[in-house]
Amino acid sequence: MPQIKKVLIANRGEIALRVIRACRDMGIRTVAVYSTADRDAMHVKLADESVCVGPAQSSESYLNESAILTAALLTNADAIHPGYGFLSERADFVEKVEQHGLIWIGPNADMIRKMGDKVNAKQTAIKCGLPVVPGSDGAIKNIDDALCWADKIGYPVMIKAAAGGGGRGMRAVHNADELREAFPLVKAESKTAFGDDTLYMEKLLLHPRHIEFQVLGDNHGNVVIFGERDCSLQRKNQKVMEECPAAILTQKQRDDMIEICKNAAKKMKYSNAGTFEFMFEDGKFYFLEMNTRLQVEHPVTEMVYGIDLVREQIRIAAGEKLGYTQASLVPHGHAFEFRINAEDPETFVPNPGTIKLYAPSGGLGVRVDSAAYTGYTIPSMYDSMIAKLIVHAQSRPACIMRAQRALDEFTIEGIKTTIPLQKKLLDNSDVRQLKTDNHWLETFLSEEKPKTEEISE
Amino acid sequence: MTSFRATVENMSKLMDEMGITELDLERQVLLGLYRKHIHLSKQQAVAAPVGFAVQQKKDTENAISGHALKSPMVGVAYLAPEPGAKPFVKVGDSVKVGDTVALVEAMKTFNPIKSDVDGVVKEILVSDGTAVEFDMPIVVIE
Repeated sequence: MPQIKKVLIANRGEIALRVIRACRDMGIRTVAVYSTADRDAMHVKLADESVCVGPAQSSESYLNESAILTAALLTNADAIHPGYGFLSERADFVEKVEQHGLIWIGPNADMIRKMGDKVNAKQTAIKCGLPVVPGSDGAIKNIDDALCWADKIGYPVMIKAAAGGGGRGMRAVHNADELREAFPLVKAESKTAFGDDTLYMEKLLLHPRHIEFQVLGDNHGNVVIFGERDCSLQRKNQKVMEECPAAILTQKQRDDMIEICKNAAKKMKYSNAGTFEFMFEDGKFYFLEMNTRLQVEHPVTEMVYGIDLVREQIRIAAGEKLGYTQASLVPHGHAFEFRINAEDPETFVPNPGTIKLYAPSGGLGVRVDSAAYTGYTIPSMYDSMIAKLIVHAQSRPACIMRAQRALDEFTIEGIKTTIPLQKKLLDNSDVRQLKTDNHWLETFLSEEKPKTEEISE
Repeated sequence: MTSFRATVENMSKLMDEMGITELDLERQVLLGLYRKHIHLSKQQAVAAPVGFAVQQKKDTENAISGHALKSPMVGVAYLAPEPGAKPFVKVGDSVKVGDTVALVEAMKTFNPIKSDVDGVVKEILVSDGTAVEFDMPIVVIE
């Protein structure tokens, strides 16, 4: 069984710290890599060794595959942990790492190719029994074909150009009349816009929530599924606040989905950490995508289940077996995660600069994952997330109370952060009563805006 | 860490004097909580890294007076075109723009560090076969 004695962390910020901490807890030595803009970064200070791998721009440093591989080889690291983002889902890089005799702490290259790509992933998901958004199986020939599919799927439906993307070449229709009118238009549009008038159809979800299930699998065919995270509060597809469990679900819905996900993960022989993401509407789940890596919001699962997911990733990568079964995963209480970004809380304009005072909240049930410190200058070229506040309590209402307390305590001076927005969200009755969906936050923000302008006038 | 660097340097010198090409040194620090394993090789530095001269950089960064030629990448620095050959430059040599002063090897490719100024070599900050980081000063020109 390969032993991991030294891990190179191919990332920066809070996630690099997260991995360094798990390694230190296990007695594993760590190597940080950094760009010239991150000479004073916390991950460089906390790691046993550090290697500057390139200039400020990520493409030349944190995404510089050969520099990172060279650093790993020269420091005699046994394994590479990619964190999230950067190189974490690059199958070709995973292969290079393994070709150089190093261990990759994450799913293998085949799994990343199979599930990391959206089109491949949907096919695999169907094969593995995951529910997907119902749609026409392939191209729609003509209007009769379209009407027939729409009846089968149920209105409202979305007509989409096969060659389209990024919101272009699609139209929502709510009944047969609208479909008759829209079909030739979209067909003509896609012919001129994409040079291809192949259309297909999918069910239109009007108010979906984002609910996801954490997977852990080992190299011996064992798989466990952790209870779900609700990440419906999003702005521009970026999650803002996450919680575990999704209080909107019944126990039966939860148990059924855990079973379905477990069978799917087993069927695809999933190894290491991953997440099945779904849209949830009117009691039904629809597969969205799979993340073949550790996720930003993994701490809410850790708090509720009392398991260190990064430690498990390292153990699995070293060839060890999962130390527990599905039955031994018992959730306790409720957890929230708040992403604190260095941004204006109203305009969301990034606000890099020097932190004059950093005093994170503390106390029972409060965890802060952050690479910030007093005197730290946030570089402008990387992600604006500077801290994750994670709060755990015995129930959702108790967790809301504790989260308010923790957000009140959190002091960051010198830069603007999204803490005021997080406080506002936690005070909102829709958020408290679970009356939100994936579009709720954007609507809330657009309604908020005129009000704040009035006040400032 | 300074003593670690000093150890490596002393060992390196000793090896040169005695004609030893490889040396294994194990030192226990902090009551055996971790081991600093030094493997010095005078032949193939990629296979036998000396460890990054991070401390060296931090010590010298402030002290450098003159124009530093820096490593363009993570890799292993060589001061001569091949093992045993005459070094590209030594202290006191004059260099012109475009002269190669060292090589950095990464992923089996050799990348020359060329001078971008005319001047005299004032200092050579790394020894042959040292692992170097991106942006690390290698040679100082005055």
